[in-house]
Amino acid sequence: MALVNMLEDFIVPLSPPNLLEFISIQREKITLAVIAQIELILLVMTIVSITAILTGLLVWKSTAASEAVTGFWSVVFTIPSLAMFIFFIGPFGLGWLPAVIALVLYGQLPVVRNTIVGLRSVEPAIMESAAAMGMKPLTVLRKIQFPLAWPVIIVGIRVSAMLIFGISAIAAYVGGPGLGDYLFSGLANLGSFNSMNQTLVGAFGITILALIFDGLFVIVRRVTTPRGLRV
Amino acid sequence: MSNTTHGQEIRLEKLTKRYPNTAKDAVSEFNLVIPAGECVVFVGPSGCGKTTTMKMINRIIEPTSGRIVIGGEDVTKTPAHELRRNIGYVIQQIGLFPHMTIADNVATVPQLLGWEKSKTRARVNELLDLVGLDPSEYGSRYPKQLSGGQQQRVGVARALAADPAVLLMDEPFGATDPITRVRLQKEFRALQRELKKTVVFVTHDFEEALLLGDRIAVLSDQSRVEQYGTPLEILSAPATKKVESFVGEAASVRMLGLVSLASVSVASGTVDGPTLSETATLREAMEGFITGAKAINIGSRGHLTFEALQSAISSTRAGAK
Amino acid sequence: MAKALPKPNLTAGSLYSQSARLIFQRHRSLIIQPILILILSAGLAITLSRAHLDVIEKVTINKAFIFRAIQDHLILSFASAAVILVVAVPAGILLTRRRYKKFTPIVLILANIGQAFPAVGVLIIAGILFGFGKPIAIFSFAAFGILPILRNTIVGLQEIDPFIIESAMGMGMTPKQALRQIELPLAVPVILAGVRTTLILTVGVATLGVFVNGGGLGTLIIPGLKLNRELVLVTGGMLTVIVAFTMDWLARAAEELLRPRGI
Ligand SMILES: Nc1ncnc2c1ncn2[C@@H]1O[C@H](COP(=O)(O)OP(=O)(O)OP(=O)(O)O)[C@@H](O)[C@H]1O
Ligand SMILES: [Mg+2]
Repeated sequence: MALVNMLEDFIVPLSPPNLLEFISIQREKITLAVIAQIELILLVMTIVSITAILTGLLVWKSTAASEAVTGFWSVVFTIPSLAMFIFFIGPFGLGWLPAVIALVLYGQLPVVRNTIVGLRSVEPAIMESAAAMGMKPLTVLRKIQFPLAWPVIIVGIRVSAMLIFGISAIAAYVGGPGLGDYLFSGLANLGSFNSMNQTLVGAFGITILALIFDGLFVIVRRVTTPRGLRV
Repeated sequence: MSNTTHGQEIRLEKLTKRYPNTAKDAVSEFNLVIPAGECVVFVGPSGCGKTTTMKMINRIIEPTSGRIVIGGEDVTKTPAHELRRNIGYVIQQIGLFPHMTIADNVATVPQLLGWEKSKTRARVNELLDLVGLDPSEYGSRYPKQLSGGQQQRVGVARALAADPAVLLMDEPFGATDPITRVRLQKEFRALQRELKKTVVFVTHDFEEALLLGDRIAVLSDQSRVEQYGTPLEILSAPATKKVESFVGEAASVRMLGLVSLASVSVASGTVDGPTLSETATLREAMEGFITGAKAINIGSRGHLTFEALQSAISSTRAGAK
Repeated sequence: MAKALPKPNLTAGSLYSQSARLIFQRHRSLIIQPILILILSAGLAITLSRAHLDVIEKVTINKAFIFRAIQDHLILSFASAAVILVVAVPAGILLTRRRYKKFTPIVLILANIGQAFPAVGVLIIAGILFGFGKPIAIFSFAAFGILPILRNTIVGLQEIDPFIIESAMGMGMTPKQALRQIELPLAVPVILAGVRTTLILTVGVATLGVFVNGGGLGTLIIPGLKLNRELVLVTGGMLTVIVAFTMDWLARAAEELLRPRGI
């Protein structure tokens, strides 16, 4: 299997393959890269969602803490991605681990920020009513505040996912998994028949996957948004 | 409504609130006894501490010092959420939960109290009926799909859901248009006559206080009680200058609005003229004469002449003093 | 009751302006950030002055090379930012006029798609098609940045309270007067935020310029990676961070200074 794949790269076709031919020749490799890409995004987004929502839940009450946390992640967010990746190569070496860590750090800001904004934007009158009806603080959070903040939070997750798709392309340069490999192969094989094909597969593969995710988010958002907020 | 819990007496002793980083108490040593089953209205200028005082009763605002006794039990240290399940609460912003249906909103406290589903459902229907909303039509709607006045009715229904002994209301009708407002006020008055809850009602609208209050507490800065008495007492004998200024010029006209025609003596027989019911007030009769009536039929009891009205008015004044 | 939840802005680029507007306390961070930058710079300078450089490291870690890299980086960033702003801001203003409003949904959809397209992708495709060098890098970065910034501008302008404009018209202003006297002044913060966001975006992607021989701070990072010299790698990374933080700080300070009072 692996041998066949390797050989494919060395077989020089008589005429340069067009994009579709390239895709069909490389079908299996591309499928693997797509799967790796999806796994990467799902892994990163799961970690991001859990950690960032928890952070938001912990700090939203305090303005100072909210500012500090958002400020911190805003600063992290300014770090150019290539630089961010290389900082984690030192301790963790090349591979998927530094990629995941760096992507998780990039993904924090939108989710943390939207969690805080969402929780804070629930009207005080509604929270007060809930408390006045005898709900304990955690019940208010669980039954009233979080469901009302959820539509805002999920938009944060969606923005975060889009960002991470874009940046994950660069992760390939430090050995991260996914379609980014094709981009950099295209660059490395410059002048060869397949350089453009590889690049296009990498760039459009990521874009298409991102758009599919985006569409899924729209659906998830609709399904999980309480009906009373939609009418 | 089947066997409602009647109101319990509320006793507030030296209730004080100082907000953090402020120079003086927002509410200073507030003492008041609110008799069981009565509606007591707090009126006073903006910022005088009405809301703060009211919200200390269910400890949405935690008192700095003082005691709250409800039904003879000191609840100053009861866990707040337990205390609150026995106190209905309606505010101007209504605070309906937008992600829940009307029925679920009303069912919130019964569910917190662990009522059975069927009992809760029956209760929700009963309450929606009570506030004039057809449960089959409105129960499954969401708050956004209701008008402001309808939302406020749901707010009242929700507050009554677990049949609390005490109801706290902070300018509940303040955000509605004047016509809806009067309708809601009248509905609430009728409801309260039936339910006999102990109600603490905050408003800065004196007319509303006269209409709804069994008693009125006129408050001034730091929630100082300028006068505490029945509407008639406050209109006829303002205790201080501040109360007098609050009562305003139209005191005597307002007073007429407090006395019903049931006790007025009438001449027998009906005449050619407008008819008022016995529950109408002296004020309405006066308005009838002003608009040109020669005499007014009082239900089927007889008719009222202008002279008879005048003597009724003067005896009301004398009685109040 | 009727107050809607705040409508979060969906673009990546807008993260900045939003977090700044909603939560970040500008003044405090304006003071903390330069301190952080100084500490990072001092740390890097001390590390480098103490380090024993081997032959390979000396090729990149020397004053001339480093300054060249920074200079190129700034050229790439500013030039592409300028292109983006010159195109996106006027286009954004135009696209929110009544006459061209019908095109905004298309632009917003395109922007959404563009947002998912990786920056390296644009760069490498442009490199393959048009060859290597600074102009190609600048062109690619601009192509990458125009849509998000255009989208931000449009969304920002749309958020200006329509009643303000309505009342301006109601007072007898012509559409042109309303634009000049009311809308544009109100749009200044949106435009300033756009400038800042653009700069941060381009400073970030300029790191990738190295892939098409466009220079920039990537020229420190990539050799460090290829030749396995951690010191070069970290120097490149730190310098990138320092430059990015500095630009962010300058842009935010400028925004703070230039913002009209009362907004
Ligand atoms: N959270 C708070 N922190 C500090 N001061 C407060 C706070 N809430 C209220 N106050 C102050 O306490 C005083 C009483 O406020 P309160 O809301 O009880 O007035 P009110 O009589 O209900 O007024 P209104 O008729 O305007 O609703 C006011 O001077 C107000 O400024
Ligand atoms: Mg108040």
